[in-house]
Amino acid sequence: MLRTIVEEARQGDEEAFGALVRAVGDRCIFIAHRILRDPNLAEDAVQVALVRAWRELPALRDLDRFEAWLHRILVNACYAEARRSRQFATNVVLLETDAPATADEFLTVHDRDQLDRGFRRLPPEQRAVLVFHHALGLTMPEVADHLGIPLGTAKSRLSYATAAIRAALEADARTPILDQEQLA
Amino acid sequence: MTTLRNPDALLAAYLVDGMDALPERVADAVLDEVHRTRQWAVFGPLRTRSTFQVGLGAAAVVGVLVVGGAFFIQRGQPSVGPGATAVASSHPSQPAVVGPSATPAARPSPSLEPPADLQAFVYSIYERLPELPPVAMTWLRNGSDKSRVLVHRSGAVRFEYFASADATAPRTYRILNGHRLGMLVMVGADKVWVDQAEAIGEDPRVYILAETESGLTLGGPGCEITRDPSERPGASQVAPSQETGWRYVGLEYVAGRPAHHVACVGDLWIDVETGLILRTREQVRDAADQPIAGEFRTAEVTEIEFGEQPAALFAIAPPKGVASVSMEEWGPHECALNLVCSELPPGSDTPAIP
Repeated sequence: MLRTIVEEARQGDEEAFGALVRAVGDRCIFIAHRILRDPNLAEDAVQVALVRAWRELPALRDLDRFEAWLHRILVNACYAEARRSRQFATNVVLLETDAPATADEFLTVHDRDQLDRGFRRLPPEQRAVLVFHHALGLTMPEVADHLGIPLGTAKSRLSYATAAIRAALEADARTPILDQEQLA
Repeated sequence: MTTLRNPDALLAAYLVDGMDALPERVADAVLDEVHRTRQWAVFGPLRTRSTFQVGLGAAAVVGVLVVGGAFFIQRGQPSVGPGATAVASSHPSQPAVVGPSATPAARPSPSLEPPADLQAFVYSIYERLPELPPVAMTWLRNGSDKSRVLVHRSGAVRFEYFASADATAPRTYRILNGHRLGMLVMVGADKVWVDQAEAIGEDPRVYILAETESGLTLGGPGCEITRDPSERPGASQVAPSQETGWRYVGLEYVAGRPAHHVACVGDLWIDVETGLILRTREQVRDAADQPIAGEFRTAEVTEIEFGEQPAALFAIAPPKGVASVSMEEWGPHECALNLVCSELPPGSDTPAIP
């Protein structure tokens, strides 16, 4: 079904592209928001990516690879948004603490804060690998494919990103001891 | 002491939270913009004649054409001639070769005065290309990247690419003839021939724009060309500000021909008589998308001569001794070279050609 819509859109059918936007838009905003951690930047990135996808759709040779192709465009749009935004490097504003807790209460508010600090310090390329691997559940070869990078590069980025997140959490784990010692 | 739990599990849980539905207003904004945006035309499989878009790689320049109607240069004005007053180009070209028959247009003589409707004039670039008579012109990008365009009276077009500005024979070339495409391309150190029927759905001459605009991003905000909203009832109206981006700079000469110099995000020098783009210029931007002072990307016609071109140059056939490969075999190479289909981020991640 999606293949048919992609083909029609590639032939210039705007209505088909509209259907395509409805079909893939949620996935796109899911990815963009998790990479950028900012709803406005995410919406901008998705808009840029989808318009660019429309413009360059005739260049897509393998219709079955539409999703991976679109994701490449999207992550590039995310990178561009991130770099355009001065907030990106310095934005350490935490996610809203009154946001709904995760489904199983596995993640505490404090966990979320620490993860958020660690995640926001990562370059967008590393964030993207984490999002595709951990949030979308793609295997590393799939991540590499969707990001348009060699597998080795994807693994390397994942390794650096995971180490950075682990460091942030370890810092978190040490903090209560210091607090208790200071209180003593 | 706090126990460090599984970071992967924590991260996965952290990434659960976030937007998971595209707001309707964003989808609407996308579709509004799509309606104003032409798709690119590509040389390759799966393009059929039924496509209504022209899309050029140069969607950039004219962004996206199709203004409500055809607009042409004012008629009944003084014709171009040696007595015309013109401002000397601020960007001197190499010596031009202008043939004695350099009066190609069948339309009434154009005016050297600034176009009355500048936006329409700029937007008409594309629509005028199918009227282009036989011509040969040489382009230089950024002062060193040389290419040549030849147009046959049938409308067939041959693009030649040279290894250096001094080279006299093309290294590779591409021919568009009717709906067929033929290319002499490099795969590693070898030349191979690729051709395909039904590869293009437009008049081959419109692809001159894609080849000569040099990848400039002249169709930026404020420079877009919009379709007439009446083309599709109910379509969103385009903000007037989007149709008023081009400004007139002056009349200048490029390759010995009078050209209207117009500017928006970048600069174009448009041949007064034919509407051909004779020169483009755009400021280079840094990684933060900020213009770098004094650095420009340019493309310029250095020689142009109107006149018949030999039909043999436009034959879709492999040169002697050159092997043919299918478009399917060539596709991955083209993707890797042009990044059109692969959309790779810039940098070292570009794949090697297999």
